[in-house]
Amino acid sequence: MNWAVENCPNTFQLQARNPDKTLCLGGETIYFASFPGFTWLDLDSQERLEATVEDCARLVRLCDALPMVHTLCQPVAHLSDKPPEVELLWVHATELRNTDKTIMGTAFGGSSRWLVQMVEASGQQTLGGICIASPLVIPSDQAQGILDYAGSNNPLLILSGPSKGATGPGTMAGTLVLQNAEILGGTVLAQLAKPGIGVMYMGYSTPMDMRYGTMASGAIDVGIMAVGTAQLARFYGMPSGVFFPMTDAKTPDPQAAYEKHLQTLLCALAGIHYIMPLGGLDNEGTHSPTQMVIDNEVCKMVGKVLEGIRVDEERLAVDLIKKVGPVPGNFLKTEHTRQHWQEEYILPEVSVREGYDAWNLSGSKGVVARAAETARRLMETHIPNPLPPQADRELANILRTAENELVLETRRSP
Amino acid sequence: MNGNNLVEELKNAVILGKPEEAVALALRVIENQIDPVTAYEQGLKAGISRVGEAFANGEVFLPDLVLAAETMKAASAVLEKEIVRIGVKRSRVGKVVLGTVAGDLHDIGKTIVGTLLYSYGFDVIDLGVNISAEDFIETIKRENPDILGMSSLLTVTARQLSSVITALAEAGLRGAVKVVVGGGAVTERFAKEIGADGYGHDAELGVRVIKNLLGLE
Repeated sequence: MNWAVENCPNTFQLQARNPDKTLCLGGETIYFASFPGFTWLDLDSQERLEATVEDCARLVRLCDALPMVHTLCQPVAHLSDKPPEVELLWVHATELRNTDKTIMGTAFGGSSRWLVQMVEASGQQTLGGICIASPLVIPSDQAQGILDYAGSNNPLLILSGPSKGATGPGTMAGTLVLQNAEILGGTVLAQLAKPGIGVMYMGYSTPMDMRYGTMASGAIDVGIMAVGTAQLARFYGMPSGVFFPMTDAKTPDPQAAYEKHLQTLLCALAGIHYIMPLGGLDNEGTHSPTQMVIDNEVCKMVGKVLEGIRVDEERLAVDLIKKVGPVPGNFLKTEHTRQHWQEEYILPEVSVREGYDAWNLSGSKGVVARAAETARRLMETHIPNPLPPQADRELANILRTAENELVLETRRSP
Repeated sequence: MNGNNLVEELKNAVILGKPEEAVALALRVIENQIDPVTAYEQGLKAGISRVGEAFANGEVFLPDLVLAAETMKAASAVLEKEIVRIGVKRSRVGKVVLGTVAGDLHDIGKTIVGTLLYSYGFDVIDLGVNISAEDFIETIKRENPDILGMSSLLTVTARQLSSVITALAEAGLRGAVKVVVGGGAVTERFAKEIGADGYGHDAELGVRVIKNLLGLE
């Protein structure tokens, strides 16, 4: 195990087809990623919908349009217009066709074998997502995923998420011990498959709600355990990630905001390199474009927190204060203000900042209505950097081959 | 000690969730020639229904319920043997076979369904995770349950639910058992499409559907 951990690089690149979107994980930069759902939440009714390939494409284009989505996890895990055996492959192909940002890979049911071909065809790497089954099992498809991704030089994330009190001990410390053992177990297999391959240390431990038997994904314990995850990853010298912030709220509402964003801030302050606050609702049940736009704004605020207060002669502005004061002097008319105010203020896109009367005159819309409007506009109008036609054709070929093998042949033979 | 006291103690052992104590008490029930059906009904079953009720009222929580069910299972294994040996019958609400389909290792949701059913007096045979169609069918032939409950959390294994239902039909067993499906990857539409009799997205709904199918609610 020590050998495997020593072989893990402290930092590694995740190459995008557009070099500007390449990530360097494990360094000084924190990246935000989109979060998946089984279904997606309608913009008007806020009801769950099953996604089609076209819905999925529009959701990916929103991820592409929003600046705080630095990298993607698939917006939906299920498509109503594709057979279950290949729906995940269609989701990944739809991601590759509608964004030039990097995407997270999966290994469920052998999907890794096809995805490594797709990312090669589109000239990029994927971050191969490997899910451990707690307690203490690497399922065979996930083990195969480690071999597929590492073997094709795609870095990996080893993801362990014991549920505190159910698939893990009832304590945070015990759950982190189990999570640690599981991540290191996957890391050993990854380094045996390809010594030196990049591995991200990734947690998603959540407590179980002992009334309903649900995973309490929005619990503050999740954020606290993220801090432990960051410390352990640093101890082993590996980049860190979390498969949250999450919430158990079903619609974009105050609960969604406080659960997700308390966790987001804890993760960022703890120095987690790869955080997934964008778009998730209902503990992986739903992906919400409206929530995405709100989360995009919060991620900017969190970035601002990490920047802190810049202190130097120019910004202390002592001479300026002497010059302008006392009342009735003001700073609005100084060149200094015009030069600096934007460095230290985020112009919000959807938060309400106007006065009451102005807000009333513009239709009294709250943040949810405003975010839904922004989401709709971007989903309808944003045009991503297209995949080159040759790569697009290769994706189509890979999908066809997979469908022949996984759907037609399996259903023909009993 | 008289019989009533032993039965009362058995009930308390279930309420407190103490499997070892309950097994020792069950052995003493047999030793003292107390009617095992009475011990089962007024001891174990009375205990688990008390806990089930307290759970439904939010007075106790899943660890309490699960430990109570484990206690009942351990002690009823002892009593059942005696009940069979002396050739009497105890009451039965219904029998349910549960399992997570092949390729899927997700256990917890299904286990909670099983525990809730158990607390309502059902006989529950939980096969575990990663269960093949053949294993489901063999168990149904052997146990003749009222309900087959299957779970799939992963989208890639959801199709297995359909394979089991097809295999049931091929084995001539489709009419013999009601099929209820659930789990993260299963939608109501999908459940209908594959010809399941019931669908429960979570444990609570699953139990309600099963009770409805058997005309208990």
